Amino acid sequence: MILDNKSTRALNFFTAQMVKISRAGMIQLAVLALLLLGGLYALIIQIVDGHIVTGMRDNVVWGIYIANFIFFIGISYAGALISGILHLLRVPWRVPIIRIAEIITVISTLIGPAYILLCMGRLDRIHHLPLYGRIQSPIVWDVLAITTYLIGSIIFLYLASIRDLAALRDFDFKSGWRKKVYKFMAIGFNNTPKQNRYLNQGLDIMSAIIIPLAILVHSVLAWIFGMTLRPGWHSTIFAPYFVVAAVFSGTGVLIMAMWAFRKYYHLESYITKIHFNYLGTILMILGALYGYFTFSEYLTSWYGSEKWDMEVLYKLFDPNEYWGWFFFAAILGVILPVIVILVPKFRNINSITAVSAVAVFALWVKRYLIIIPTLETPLLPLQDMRSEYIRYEATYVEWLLTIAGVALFCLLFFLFSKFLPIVPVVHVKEGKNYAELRKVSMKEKVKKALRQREQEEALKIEEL
Amino acid sequence: MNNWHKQLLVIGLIAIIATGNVFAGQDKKKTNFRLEYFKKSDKTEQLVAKLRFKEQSYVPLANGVVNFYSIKRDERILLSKVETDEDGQAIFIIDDNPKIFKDSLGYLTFEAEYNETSEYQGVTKSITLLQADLEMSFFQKDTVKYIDATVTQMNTDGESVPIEGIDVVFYVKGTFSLLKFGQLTTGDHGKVEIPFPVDMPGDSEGILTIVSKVLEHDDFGTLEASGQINWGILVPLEKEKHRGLGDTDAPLWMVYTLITLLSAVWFHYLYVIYLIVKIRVGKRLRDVRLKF
Repeated sequence: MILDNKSTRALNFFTAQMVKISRAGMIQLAVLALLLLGGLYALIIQIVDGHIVTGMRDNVVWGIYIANFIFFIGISYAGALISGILHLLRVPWRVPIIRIAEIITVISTLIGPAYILLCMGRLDRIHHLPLYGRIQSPIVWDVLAITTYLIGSIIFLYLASIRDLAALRDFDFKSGWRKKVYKFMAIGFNNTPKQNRYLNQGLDIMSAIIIPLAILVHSVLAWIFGMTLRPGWHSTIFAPYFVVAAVFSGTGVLIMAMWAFRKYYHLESYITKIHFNYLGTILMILGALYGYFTFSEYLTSWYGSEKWDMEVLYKLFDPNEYWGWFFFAAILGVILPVIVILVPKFRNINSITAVSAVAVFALWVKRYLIIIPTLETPLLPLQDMRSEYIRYEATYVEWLLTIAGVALFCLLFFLFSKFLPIVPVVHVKEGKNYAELRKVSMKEKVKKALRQREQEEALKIEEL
Repeated sequence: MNNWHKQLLVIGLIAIIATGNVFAGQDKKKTNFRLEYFKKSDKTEQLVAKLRFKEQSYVPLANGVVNFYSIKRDERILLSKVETDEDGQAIFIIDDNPKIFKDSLGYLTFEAEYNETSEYQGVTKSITLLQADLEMSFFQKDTVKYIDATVTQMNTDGESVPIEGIDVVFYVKGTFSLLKFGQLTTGDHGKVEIPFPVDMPGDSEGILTIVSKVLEHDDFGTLEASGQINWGILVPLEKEKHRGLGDTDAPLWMVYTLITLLSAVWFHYLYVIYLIVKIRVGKRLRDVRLKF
């Protein structure tokens, strides 16, 4: 495939980084492998001893596994939003960040459902779900929606990578396996007008379909809670609330990933401050929207003063129970990103990334607060129960598996960046020249203004 | 040092140790017992000890070892050691064990003991009981159906003697619990006769399970008898299937919506895969043309 000079330069730049792993990279890999081993150890313990090794009991049947599941599915929104919407709107600055967003989607959609499997008591009966699953159950909807979403995300990522795969196929790699894999995956793409037409058509379809699908996936997830008659869950705004929270956390993780890859691969000329500013602005708007939903949700519950709703609210506002975490998750985690990004003085790449990290962690805590306090408030009074049956506390097994999930996310991301350029190289022109495009448009504006002035002056002269 | 000094010192030391033990004992969690006797429908007799310890309220103590004793005057004869389950229950089956002592009046005395551990205080509970029997039968007088229950007790001569003034409660077994439909007190012959309601729904053959009970009597504990009879209204198996949230099949609108949504998405996926195939086919055609 024939490439222009800029694409060739970009290809050379990324392939050089893809084939080698620096010392820092090796250390990073070792740490991630160690964390994964910790997770494997915890998994074996859980399989051998059963769920008694977790903090989950008859009363609090869901713990941090479900919080992790919602969290990972939430951050998968980054791909749907950034890739889908920005692609459809042909936003020029999307290109350098689009692949990071798509990878986040695929990896997190793979890891998230694994936590459901960890939460299930009888994995040997997993086949009962397709065999005897009831269509009425939101859990069946969830399985269908997430499977469809995952397949859609993989197709979308693959389509968006075909041009780069073709360029890599034609690159002179030393390793034989790379050549074979790239050749197979590039499916003979040669940038012909016909092939480009098919590819663009496919990309347009996928980006259009992935957006409603992503909204549906998170709505279904919210309905699992919303359709259950439990205090703190049975709410009509849960679906849009979950969707906004998901996009909020997804954007936060995208900013963090951009920061990390920018540092690690020295992508300062590709991922610029403009990208952070724009995504920061999106994060700020979503933060404000999320804050509005949170306020609306709790105000309605509090004003209704329904007995069991109040029980949950008392727990959330009790300094001896969840007030500290609630303050962090629902107030600090929302206000801090909004203020830092809103005030130009505070706004820079590092501060935007830092508040994104705060927002992401706050949203994980929020998921925990949605699940646990409600389950600790049963509708029937509990008698003769041991305290661990009433109160949930995550065990070291659950924490190890949670950390392992995050480590797996980072590891897969790292490995992916060694297989495909983290920034699209063939199509990079559009994004890379964004600064230039701005310059050009500014020049054009200046020229236009000068021309106008000249014309006005000419008219004046004529009048005189 | 004089003797009385030594004695005072020893007494003082004992007092200190004893006080220490008392305070140490206060750190241990308080426990309590509930010891009950049951005679089931199949004539199995059992002692159930429910062991609990105090946290904010009393909660079951699992894996605690309970010793069951038979009391023979001032002597305790160990019958069995049973570990409590997750619900804090330890069950001892009373059988023909010769170690079980019965006094001249027919009374049996048992004791359950939980020994003190480093975490929990010890507790003991005893129960004295007479072995009685509850029998139940069904009969019909004209069109009225009756249930007959008799409470008897073996006297010292080994003869069955009816017991008067015992409350017997009657139930019908439901899917999840027992439905009470009457309560009577035994008369002269230790008997009660209760008419059976005519409007009780049974299964597809009208079969009902009737249970009669003497509940937590001071002397006889809890006695139970049960039997099955086809006195219920026939409830045919539901042949017509309903569609709804609580039914086996989903409402049709839900099925159609799901199929439409999934089909719409998967149709687009398949179309995109078709486009990918076209990209590949385009390449092959070009290769063929180049060959020629």
